[in-house]
Amino acid sequence: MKEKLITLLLALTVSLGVQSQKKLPNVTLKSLHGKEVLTSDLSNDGKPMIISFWATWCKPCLSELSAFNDEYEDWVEETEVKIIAISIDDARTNARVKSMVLGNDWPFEVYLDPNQDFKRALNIVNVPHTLVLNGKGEVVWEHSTYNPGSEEEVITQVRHLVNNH
Amino acid sequence: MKKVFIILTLLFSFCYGDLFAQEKGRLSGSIESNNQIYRDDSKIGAKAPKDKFGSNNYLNLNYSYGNFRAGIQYEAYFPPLLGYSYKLEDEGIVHKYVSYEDKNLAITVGNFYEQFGSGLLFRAWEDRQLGLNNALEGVSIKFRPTKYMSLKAVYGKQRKYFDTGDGKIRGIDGEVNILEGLNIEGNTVFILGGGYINRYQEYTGPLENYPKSVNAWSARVDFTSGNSAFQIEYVNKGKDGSSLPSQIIPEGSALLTNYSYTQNGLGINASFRRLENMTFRSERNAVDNELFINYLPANTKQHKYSLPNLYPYSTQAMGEIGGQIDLVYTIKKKTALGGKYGTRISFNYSHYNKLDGTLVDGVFYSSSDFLSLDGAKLYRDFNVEIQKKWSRRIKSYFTFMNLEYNKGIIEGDNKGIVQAKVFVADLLYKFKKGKALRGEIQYLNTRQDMKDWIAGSLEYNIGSRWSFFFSDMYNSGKTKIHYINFGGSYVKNSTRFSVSYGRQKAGLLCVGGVCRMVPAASGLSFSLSKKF
Repeated sequence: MKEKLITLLLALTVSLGVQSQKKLPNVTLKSLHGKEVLTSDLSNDGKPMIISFWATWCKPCLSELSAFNDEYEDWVEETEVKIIAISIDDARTNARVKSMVLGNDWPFEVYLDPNQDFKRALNIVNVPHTLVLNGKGEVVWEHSTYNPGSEEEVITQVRHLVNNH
Repeated sequence: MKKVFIILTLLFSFCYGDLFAQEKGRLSGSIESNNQIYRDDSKIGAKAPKDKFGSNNYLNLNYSYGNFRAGIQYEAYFPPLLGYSYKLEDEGIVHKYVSYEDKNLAITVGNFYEQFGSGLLFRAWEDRQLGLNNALEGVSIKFRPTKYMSLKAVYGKQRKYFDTGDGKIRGIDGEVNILEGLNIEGNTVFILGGGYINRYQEYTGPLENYPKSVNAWSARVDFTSGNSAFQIEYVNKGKDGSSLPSQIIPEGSALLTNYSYTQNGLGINASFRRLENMTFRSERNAVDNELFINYLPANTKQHKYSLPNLYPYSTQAMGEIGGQIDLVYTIKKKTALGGKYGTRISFNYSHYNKLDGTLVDGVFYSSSDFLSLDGAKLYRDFNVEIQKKWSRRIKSYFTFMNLEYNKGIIEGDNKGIVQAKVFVADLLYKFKKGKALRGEIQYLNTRQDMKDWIAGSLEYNIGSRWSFFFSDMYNSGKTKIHYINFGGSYVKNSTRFSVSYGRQKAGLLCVGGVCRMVPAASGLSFSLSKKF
């Protein structure tokens, strides 16, 4: 048991010595119309993007998207950012995704990740999880969970990208 | 306690450390560690395990180089947390794979997750909260001959705790986007799909014609045009064997249809599902959440609050018939009812009955009526939720739920039907400088089972990093027991650490409509998750 633990510790130390992945891994998602979409096709013409992983049954996720929705018009005007929402709902609830997105009048690009391939490829443990990508499509910032008011931190990261450009 | 120390050292040792770039390829991963120190708490019937400690740990490492990827998942249970199977008490690398992927082709050798269609025929997935992992160990090939067609093939055995099950699984699946294939442009999407699964498990018993090999197939249509969308999926499952008692289970079937209408500010969704003899596992004698081949989630609304979740529906794979209607509507901003920010209303109704047929030995249905709704009622749920933002600082959510839950059948006791009404009010107040306070009060009213419950909680956040909570669930109707919990969490980027102390009620824990029974527990929990 003890040796195994030491091995685990070593593995962890090694794993910490590497840079986190920057470019998005290539995985197939589904659009709300059922079409297949490659993650490599997600883009905002060289402008920053916010990618938020969510689910219809996750309350903090809905609070986050609803906060994004409240600020959306101002944010786009200021930074031209695009918000992409990736639903990890599986067959239990993914029929509700489309009615929820349109019923809420959310202006985001929404895709389905029903067997969580994209979430897994990014090593995301839990939702909500939010990524900020620069114009080259590289992940420059990320955050797990959502607390009311955290959206300010997200847009601050986007502003950094726009101003340092 | 020594183990606690080791875990703690482990957790802190990797919280720090600078990252440096590697020239060739990239390594990434995640770690999750959930621990609890238990104490005896006779009031709620909680008994601490022998060494008063439970710890579930997961480490993922993925390495990618060009089109190649390889990775492992290491799991360690020292021992498993209460409620998880004791068969998990072990540690080791349980998941390893190598894969090649380009735009048209993906090949994986080793362990992998996959699903066909909605999973009604086949789904290999992981849910750590449920202790469920039925990943396949074998080979998977995905091929996209053209832009509008995709094909999948899988072969292997499913994971069973730290081993694999006996049954072998072979499957193929295909999907064609018809209109894109015919070069018809427009707003209509028409997708046809189908799949096939075979499971083979040896049998050496005395029964003749006992099915060692079970075949199942599915056909599905997905049609979207303008504001409407329609999906239908049908699965047929061939004869299967059951082990206790040893007998032959007749053919099974599953039908799932879904219609939705959406426009800006309005979403309606209606679905119908019928299941008959659809328990499908890669070992005949598998129990609990072991070795599921198909995925049959409860087709009901998944509730977010604690009291509505006291009576969660769990799918009756042997046989059920019913449906769900869901509606989300936003009253526009700047109208009388919508106010400055708009008001959101959602309705949901679901109803499930047993099949109207003969249940043989409590194991399978024979001669059931296909569309009859005369079977016993299993579950009914009507709920409304209103969400309103009053100002930049105040937001509120109100929920009402009226439910009927056949506890006798779903949990197998003699409680019969529970009829309950639940009321929830949830208020959020944002202070300046990113501080926020959220309060929640819930009341469940019923004359059956445990009678009335009252629950309340307070949550205080400081910026995006700190969060503290205090909650109580009080059974006012019968036992007069308080289930108090309090704790906090700290999050920085993608690292999260949380601690809490309190009581956990015995009951059915359901995630995505798959459930496991959790025993009453009391003690200190702490967990860490990090991705890198």
